[in-house]
Amino acid sequence: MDEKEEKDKKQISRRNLLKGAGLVAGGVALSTTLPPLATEAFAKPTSRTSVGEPTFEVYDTDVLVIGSGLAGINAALTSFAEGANVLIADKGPFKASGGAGMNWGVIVRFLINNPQITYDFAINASYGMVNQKLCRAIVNNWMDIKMDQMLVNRGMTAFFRNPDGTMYIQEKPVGGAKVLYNYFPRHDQDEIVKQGIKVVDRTMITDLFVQDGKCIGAMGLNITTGTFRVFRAKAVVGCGGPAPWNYGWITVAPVSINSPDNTGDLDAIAYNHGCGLIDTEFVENDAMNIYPEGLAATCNGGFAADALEYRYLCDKDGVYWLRDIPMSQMNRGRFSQEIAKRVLEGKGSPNGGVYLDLRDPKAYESLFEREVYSRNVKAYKERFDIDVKGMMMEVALEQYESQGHPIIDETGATEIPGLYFGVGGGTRGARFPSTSGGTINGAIIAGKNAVKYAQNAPKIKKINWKPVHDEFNRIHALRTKKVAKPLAPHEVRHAIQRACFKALGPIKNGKTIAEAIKELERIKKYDLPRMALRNDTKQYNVEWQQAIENYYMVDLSLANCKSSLFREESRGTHFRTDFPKMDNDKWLCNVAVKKVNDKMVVEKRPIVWSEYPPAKVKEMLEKGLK
Amino acid sequence: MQVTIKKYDPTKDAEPYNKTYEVPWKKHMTVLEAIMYVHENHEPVGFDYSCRGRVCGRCSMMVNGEPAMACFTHIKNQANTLEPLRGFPVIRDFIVDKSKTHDAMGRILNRIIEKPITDREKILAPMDPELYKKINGIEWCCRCLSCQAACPVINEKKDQEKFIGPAGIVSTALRYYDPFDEGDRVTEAVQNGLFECIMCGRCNKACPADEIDHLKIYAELRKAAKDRGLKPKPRKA
Repeated sequence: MDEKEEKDKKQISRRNLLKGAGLVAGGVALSTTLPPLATEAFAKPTSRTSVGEPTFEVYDTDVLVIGSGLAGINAALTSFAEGANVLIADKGPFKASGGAGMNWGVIVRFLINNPQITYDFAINASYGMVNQKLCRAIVNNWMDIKMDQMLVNRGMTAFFRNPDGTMYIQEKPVGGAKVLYNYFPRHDQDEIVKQGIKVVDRTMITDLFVQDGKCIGAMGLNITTGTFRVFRAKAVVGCGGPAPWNYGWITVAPVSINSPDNTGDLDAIAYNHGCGLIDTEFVENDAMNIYPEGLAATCNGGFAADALEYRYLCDKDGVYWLRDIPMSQMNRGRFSQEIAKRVLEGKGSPNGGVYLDLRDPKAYESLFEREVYSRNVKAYKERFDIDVKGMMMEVALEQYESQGHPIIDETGATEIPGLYFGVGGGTRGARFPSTSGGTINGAIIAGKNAVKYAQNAPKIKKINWKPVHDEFNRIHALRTKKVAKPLAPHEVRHAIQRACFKALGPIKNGKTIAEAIKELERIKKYDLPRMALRNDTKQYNVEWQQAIENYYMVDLSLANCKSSLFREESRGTHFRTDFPKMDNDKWLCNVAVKKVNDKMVVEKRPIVWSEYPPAKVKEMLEKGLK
Repeated sequence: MQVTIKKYDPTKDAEPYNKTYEVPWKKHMTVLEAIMYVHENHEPVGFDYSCRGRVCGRCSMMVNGEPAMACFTHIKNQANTLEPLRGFPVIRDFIVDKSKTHDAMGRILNRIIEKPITDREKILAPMDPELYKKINGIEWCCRCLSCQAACPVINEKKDQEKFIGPAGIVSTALRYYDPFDEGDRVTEAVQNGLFECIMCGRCNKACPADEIDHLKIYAELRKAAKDRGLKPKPRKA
C-alpha cells in the first residue's frame, strides 16, 4: 500500500467517526448526508485556496435514471413498476428539459401490425447497422405494450384528429405499423411525480461513480445553487439523448432543432470510463427554415420541409427538381442528400439551403398533420410581420438527431456492469426511422434489466470517495480559474460548432473531416485550458455549465469526426463524396470509438446478428437498392 | 438599441438592479437574440431557454412590462426593459422558481379515474370536433406561466380569496373536458377561485399558445358551476 492509499484509508475511518455529524435534509428522497471534510490527501492546493474543502449531498437509490425525456420517462416508470426505488437526475427544469420538454406533439408508431415486417424494415432502414438482437427485443416489447393504451393511461387526452373528429391514423405499410400524431409527453412526466418517483432537476451529471469496474452511481452539479450532488445507486440508466448541439451556430442555437441541454455529456463520460461508442458517424437531417435567424432551425418555432413536402422544394433558379421522384422512392435520407447535392452544385440559396414554396396551397395542405408547423403561419404574421404563405421560404439542412452512444446489448447493458442506456449505440444505426418508438421501447427494456441487476448487485464493502473529491475539485477549478488571455466558454463552444458544421453535414468528405479533427484537437489542447469564466458565482452560472459541457462536446465531436473519416464508404445518413458507394464487403460492420491508454482509438466491430447473418444482410440491402 | 436588464444574484447583491447595454438591432430580431448578444459581448447573464419556438416555456419573462416568450417575441428598435417573470422568486437574473405553480398544475392534471382504460375502441373512438378543439388547444399549454404573470387578480388584488390563477384553471379545464376523467372538476375549479377571476382577458393576451381560448374556458366552467348551484355568494363589502 503506497502512501496515498494509506491516507485514503485514514480518510475512510475518519468518515465513519464523523457519520453522526451529517445533516439529514427533510424531504429528500432516501437519505441525504453531508459527507466528510477532505484531508490533504484529496484537496488539491489550487481548489483548497479558492473554493475550500469538498462538500456534497449524497442521495441513495436503487435505480438512478439520468434524463427525463422519452427514454428517461419510460426507464423510470418501468423500474418503478418493477418495485425499485427510482430517482431521476434531470439537467434542465423537469418537464421542460431536452427534446421531450418541448411540448410539440410527438409522432408515435402506436401499433405494429406484423413484427417481422417491422424487424426487417428496421434492419434495412438502418443499412444493416442495427443490433439485431436488440432490435428484436424492441419490436417484441412494442407488440406487448399497446402504445396508445399505455400513453392514454398515463394521461394523454386526445391524439391528432381529422376535421370530423375521427382519429388521424397513418398507415405505414413498409414499416408494418400505424402512426398517431400529437402525443404530449408532459402527461407522462406528471405521472412520474404522481407515482412517487423522486426527481432532482437542474442537476447536470458530470461524472459516473465507478468503483472496481462497476457503476455505483453518478455525481454532478446542482446548477441552481452550485452545490455538488452524489447519487449512489445499485444501477444507473443513462437517458441523455442525442447531441447535435455541436452542429454550427446561428445567433441563439446551432443548425439543429435540438435542445441546449443535449450536449452529449453522458456519452462522453461513458467513453472516458472505457465504454466503446458506436454509430457516432451517423446523424439525421431535415430541412428547416433558416430565417429569421432567431427562429432558425427550430421544429416548433418555424417551418420545415421533410420527405412529405419534397414536391414543393425548389432551387435558386426556381426549379422544382425533386418533383419527378415518386413518393414511394422518397425517404428522409434521400431527401437530405438530394438537397445537399443541389447546394454543392451551386444551385442553393445564399445561406446554403433551398426554398420551400408555401405559396402553393398544396404545400400548405401537406402540413395538415404537422400542427407544430402550421400553427406558426398566423404567429409569424402577427409577431414578425412575415407572410409565409406569400413567399419562398429558405430552408437548410439541420441536424435533429445523432446516433452515437455507448455500445449496449439486447438488455440495454453497456460494457460497464451496472450502467444501462435507454438508447444505446446499435439501436438505430444509419437510420432507424421511428425514433420515439425505438426510444420508448429501448428504455423500457433497459429499465427492466437495470432492476434485475440492482436486485443482485454486488455488495460494496467500502466506498472510496476520492473520485468524488477529485470531480468536485475539477468542477470548482473550472469556475475559479484565472488565466492569461482567457477565452469565455461560449467562444470555445462556437469554435467547436464551427469545426463540426464544416465536417459533419449530410455530405462529407475526407479532407474537411480531417481539417475538423485537427481543429478539434487544437481546441482540446490549447483552447480548453485557456477557458475561464467572467463571473465566478455559484448561483445559476450559465457559463460554468457551458465550460463543463465543452469538455464533453470536444470528445464527442472528435468521435463523430474520427468515425466519419474512418468509414471509407457511403451508407445511409453517412455520405462521403470521396467514397460515394456503399461497400458491404468492407464496411458491413459497426465503427467503435474507444479510449485506450488515454488515446482515442477507432476500430471495426462486427455487427450483432441473430436472424440474418452478414451475408444475408448484404443481400437484403443490395436487393433493396435496386 | 438600448436594452435594460434587471440583474440580481442573491448570493452577491442586496437588491436587484437595472443595467443598460447597447445592442445592435436587426430586422426580425428576437428578445432572446438580444439577451444572447449581451451575454456574449457585454457580461454574463443568468437566463434559460431551450426550444426557440414557444413550446418549452423556459424563457418567459417581462418584456417592457408585459409577459412574453423571449424566443418568440420581436424586439423593437427602441429602449427596451427586460425583467424576470412577475410574481416568482428570482434565482438569478431571468431565472425564476416556477416549481410551486408547476407542482400544483401537475397535481390537477393527473387524471382522476377508478380503473385503467383497457377498451381500445374507446381510446380510438371519434370525438366531437368542437370538444377535440378545446382539448387539443389546452395540450399546447407549455406551462411558461406568462398567464400567471399577466393576471391582475393574483398579482395586484389585495383582498382576493385564494385564486390559483389562469394556469391552474386551464389545467382543470383539460380534465373537465377529458372524456375519461371521473373527478368533479367543476367543484375543483370553484375551490381554486374560478369566480375570483375578473374576466379581463390579460392571460389570453399573454399566452403564447393561440389555440387556448381562456375566456371561453372560464365561461364554460362558470356556467357548469352555476347550473349546479356552486357559484359562491357575493362577499359583503
